[in-house]
Amino acid sequence: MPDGRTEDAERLCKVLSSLRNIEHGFSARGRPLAKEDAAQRLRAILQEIDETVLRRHLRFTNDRVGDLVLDVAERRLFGVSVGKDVRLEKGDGIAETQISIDDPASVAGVLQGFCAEADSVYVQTEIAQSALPEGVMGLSAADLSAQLFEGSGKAMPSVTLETAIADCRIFALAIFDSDAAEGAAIIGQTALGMELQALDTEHGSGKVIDEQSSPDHCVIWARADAQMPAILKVHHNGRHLWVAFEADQLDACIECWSAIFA
Amino acid sequence: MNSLSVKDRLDSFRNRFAGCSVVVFADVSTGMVLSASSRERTTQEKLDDLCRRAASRLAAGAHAGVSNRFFGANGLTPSLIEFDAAQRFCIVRSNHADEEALCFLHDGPEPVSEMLAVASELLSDIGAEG
Repeated sequence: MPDGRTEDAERLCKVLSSLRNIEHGFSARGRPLAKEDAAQRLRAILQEIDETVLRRHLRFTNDRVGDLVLDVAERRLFGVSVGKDVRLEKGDGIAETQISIDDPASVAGVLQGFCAEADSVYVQTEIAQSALPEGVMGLSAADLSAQLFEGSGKAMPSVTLETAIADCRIFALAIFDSDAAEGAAIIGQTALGMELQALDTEHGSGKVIDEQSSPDHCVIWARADAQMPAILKVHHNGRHLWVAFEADQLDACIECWSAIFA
Repeated sequence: MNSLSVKDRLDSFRNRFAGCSVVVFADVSTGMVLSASSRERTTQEKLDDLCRRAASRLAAGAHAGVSNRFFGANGLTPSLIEFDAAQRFCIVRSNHADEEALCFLHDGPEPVSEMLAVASELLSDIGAEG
């Protein structure tokens, strides 16, 4: 049996070591989000929405136009405010400049306008204290992407690989990621993860590709009538990882991982 | 007594799942198409390609590795689903004859789990009659 405490300590050391080497260019204004053109800035903002699970205010600042503050939880947008130095947590948390999200097209228009005018954009996250409005579904990055990029053939992927891994953890029994940020990593059940790691050692680089398959694809091996996990292998942008999950989660798994190819 | 032909069964499968563009009953040991049903007119070459594609997936090291490590102890062979942005390619093996399999392409909203279950039943029916 592996020593969990030693593993945790080693992992923490790696994280701290990698943090020391990261050059994000943080400043008082936050993390730079500067991209070359408006479309890239839009995609970066949608990605920020898609990667925000816990309730946060995402504040986008720049030198040319006012702040843009997005109220986000569970990867969905629940509020938009614009203006110079917008503060959301006043009184009941309603700012004067808040924009209704009932109309996705108008929200998309606000984001588009901000990205068209702004050049160097920085993002800061703030913990939101006020309660989410009841009965509001919010807008996902995919909803906004459809509004922003519809017909242009440039729709952003609904989710990134990292987001898919995070979503997948809900139903995965174990994940082996040979190219994780901190090196090869097992998530979930250690014993099952080690089986996946052994598979990766034996068959990790061998890709099942021919002219009928995209280099980016997934393969699942499953039997619904047996008490054994289904196995998924993901190929994406030269990276591959393995997932073990309950066979009755097959459709959820396909839905989760199909999104990275959108 | 049910006297549906294999072709009738494949047509029925494809009609049940609108997203299924083609389904092939194949001998994956030889890569031979035994029967097929397709949404649109297709050629024998395309059906043969589908069969060869299935045979190559089942011959791949990863398939053998996963089968042996996770399914081999029970003497079972797993179904295989390959998917990307465009479509899903599924291979369901027969419990009656290891060389027989159903291969299909799917690009619709139907749950794959249901399609695999129906495909497995279909293979059992064919095996029971054969």
